[in-house]
Amino acid sequence: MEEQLLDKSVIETGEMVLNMGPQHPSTHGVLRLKIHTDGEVVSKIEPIIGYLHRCFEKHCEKLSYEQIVPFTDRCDYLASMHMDHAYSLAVEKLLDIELPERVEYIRVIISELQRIASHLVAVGTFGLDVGAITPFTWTIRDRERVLDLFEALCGARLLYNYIWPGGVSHDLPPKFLERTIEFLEYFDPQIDELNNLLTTNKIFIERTADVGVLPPEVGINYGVTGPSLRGSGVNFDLRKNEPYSVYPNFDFDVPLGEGIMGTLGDSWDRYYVRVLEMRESAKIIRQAIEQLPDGDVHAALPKKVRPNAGEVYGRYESARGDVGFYIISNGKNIPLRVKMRSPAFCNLSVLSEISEGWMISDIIAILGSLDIVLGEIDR
Amino acid sequence: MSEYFNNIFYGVKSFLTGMKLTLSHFKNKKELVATLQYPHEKWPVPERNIGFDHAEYNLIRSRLHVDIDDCIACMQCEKACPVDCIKIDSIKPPKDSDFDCGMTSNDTQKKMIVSRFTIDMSECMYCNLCVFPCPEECIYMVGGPNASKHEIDYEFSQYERDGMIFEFADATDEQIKEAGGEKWIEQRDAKINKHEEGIKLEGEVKIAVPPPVTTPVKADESKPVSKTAVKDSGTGELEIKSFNSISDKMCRGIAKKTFTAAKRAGKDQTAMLSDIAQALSDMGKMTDEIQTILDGLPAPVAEHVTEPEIEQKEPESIPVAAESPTIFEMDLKDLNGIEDKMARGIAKKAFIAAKRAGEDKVEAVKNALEDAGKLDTASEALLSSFTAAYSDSENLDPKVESAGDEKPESGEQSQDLPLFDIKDLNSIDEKMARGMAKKIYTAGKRAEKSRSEVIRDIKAGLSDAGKLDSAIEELLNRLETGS
Repeated sequence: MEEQLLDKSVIETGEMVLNMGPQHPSTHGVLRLKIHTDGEVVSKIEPIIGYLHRCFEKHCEKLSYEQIVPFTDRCDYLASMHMDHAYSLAVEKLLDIELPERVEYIRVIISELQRIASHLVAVGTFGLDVGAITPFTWTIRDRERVLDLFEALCGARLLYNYIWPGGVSHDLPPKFLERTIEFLEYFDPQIDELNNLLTTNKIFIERTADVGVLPPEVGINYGVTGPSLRGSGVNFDLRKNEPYSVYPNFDFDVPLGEGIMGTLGDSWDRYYVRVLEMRESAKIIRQAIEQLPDGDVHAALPKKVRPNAGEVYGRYESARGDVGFYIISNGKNIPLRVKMRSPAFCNLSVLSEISEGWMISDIIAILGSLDIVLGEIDR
Repeated sequence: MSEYFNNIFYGVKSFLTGMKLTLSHFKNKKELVATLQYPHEKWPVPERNIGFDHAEYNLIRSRLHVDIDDCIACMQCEKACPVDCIKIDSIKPPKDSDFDCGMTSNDTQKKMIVSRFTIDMSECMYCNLCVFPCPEECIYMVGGPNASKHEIDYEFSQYERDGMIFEFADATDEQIKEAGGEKWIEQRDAKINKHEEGIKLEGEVKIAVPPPVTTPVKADESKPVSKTAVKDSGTGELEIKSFNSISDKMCRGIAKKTFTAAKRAGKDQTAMLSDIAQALSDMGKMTDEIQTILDGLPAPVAEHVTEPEIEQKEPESIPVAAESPTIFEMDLKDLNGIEDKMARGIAKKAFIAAKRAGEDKVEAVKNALEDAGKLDTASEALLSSFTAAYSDSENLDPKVESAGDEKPESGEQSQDLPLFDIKDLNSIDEKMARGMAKKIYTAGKRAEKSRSEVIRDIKAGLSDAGKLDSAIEELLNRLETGS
């Protein structure tokens, strides 16, 4: 069908440039897409970003190391804990300090809860993009429970400032672990429901399977990371490949795309990897709660963060992929330069490559399957 | 072929699975309902032991609060704030003075007094970073150690930005002066003055009440009396706000509307109240509650409005030539009180036509509305308020005229009249002539010419241009005599 439409000899048609966004619900934020189309078939896409630019990196040159944490929150606002964690890991590497075991375990529990919350939004909005409205309300309802846990933990629901360089701001509140277990008990059947309602739905499969195939080598060349790359069957997860924190202590699998419903690396695979990852996260949380040691969470908290001159690059597997913080210190309490590698930015850059030859309605599905967050792309 | 049917089968099956799932949620919807009837129900604020140890600190990030008695002005929180929303000024008493700054609740001797502690919550990013460095534990998000003192309010909001700026310092100017902070007060006052000056430069002026339409009174009058001036001086002033206590929305609206119309017409308070009562009972909205409210309103100031007029008329020399009619003159804007859009349009059209023709406007509007079948009780009440006012003034007229007649030389008298308003020239129909007249008027006003001089100039200018017709001449003559 597509080949026939693309065949110019049948009917002579001209190129048309179509503008989508920046205020468009399916662009997941203020993203503008300049779509070059021939009829309804897309030949090229130029993503235009910068509508949410808040000078994060420039801000960092004026703020002390502790004060940057609330600003990292605001980069990837759907996975704020991941950004805190990634930044803190980089600063700790620069400071070269050992953390108490308890802090590491708390961080893992919180990060995996955050991964569940973030993937729930990704999965829900992906369904919404292709026309399934009920699953979105269900996933948002479940995410709300995670946010309630975070609110009890640190008082904030979205922008936490919880993980600090050298520790966490508070110890776990009483009954937090019980409530987490309770949530996991509640959450496991919800994934089954989601699978019944959305994952195996015929309409959903027709909309997403075989659509926007990302071949593994293309993904690697473009620097795509996270679930979007793993959907193409590339086994790359920093929690396994370059373990940080206490991840080596846990037994979990890295879900990979297998092309069950269509070709390997299609939109459905990217979606399904996220669903499976939520199960794996739940598995990690259960293990971490079992192994959680006692201790003082503020033991390693430095009085003043003032690293020696030097530079460091910290990597972290966030809900969207490989987050990197490159920090240069000149020995003062204010960093000389902070550079952030944004996974969603790299994932977005592959959009033009994989959406060539698809129709405009398929672009929505492909974009949704990449799960971008504009706060992180624009910074 | 089998694949085709398999596809159909699978499609139907997955559709039914989804439907079954949704239906199953209908059965136990009470358990799984996630919607919260928000203003009536609220999620509970997360529970936690309240204390100030890190382990048991309760941190609902609602808003920042400072226990100012415990603050030692160490500036730690100001330094920790990434967005600079905390501003602290402190004054250290000189060494030889015996000023006592007090003790904190942790028994620390304070060495300074805090003259300013401002938190701008509209800038705050709720990061909680200022809370931890505080050595006296006096700054915290509400919900902290003294949670009992504050309401934990998670829809904390304000209508204006100024409401988000919190000043916590409570030291009085005397205390600051005693501690040797005269210079600080000077600086602060200079800053405030500068700010006010800036407001003036920006042109932010308070909206003044438009001056009442009165024909000018003789300048050397003992007391130039305008109606509003008298009303303002009255003690029991009736204000539009007085009606806010009426609970029913519609009644309140009607009352306010009638009040405004009556105020425009320059009525006194008794008449206003009776008008309102009349309008309300016309609409069948009069209840005992409203009656009590109306009765409870400021007692009408005894004939304040009429008294001065009487006083005015006693001395013979006062030429208040037709002051009253212009006061009661119906304005086009008064017709805005008519609710129906179409009726309002008709009324306005009729009003303008009548104005041009110099007829009785109220009567003309009434007739026009009646012809269109749009005359309802409300608009009739509105119009009748004007007719009443109009007839009142007409009753007064003879006296005034007779007073005017007794003046031997009306020409001299009109010379002393102050300049008329430029708007009076709007009744000149022809565009060009109007423009010229206005130009001459403005020039005359600048040169501070008298009324008769200006009118003479206008006449001369217009006749030079050949634009002076009988209608304009008549108008100008009328203006000259001040009628």
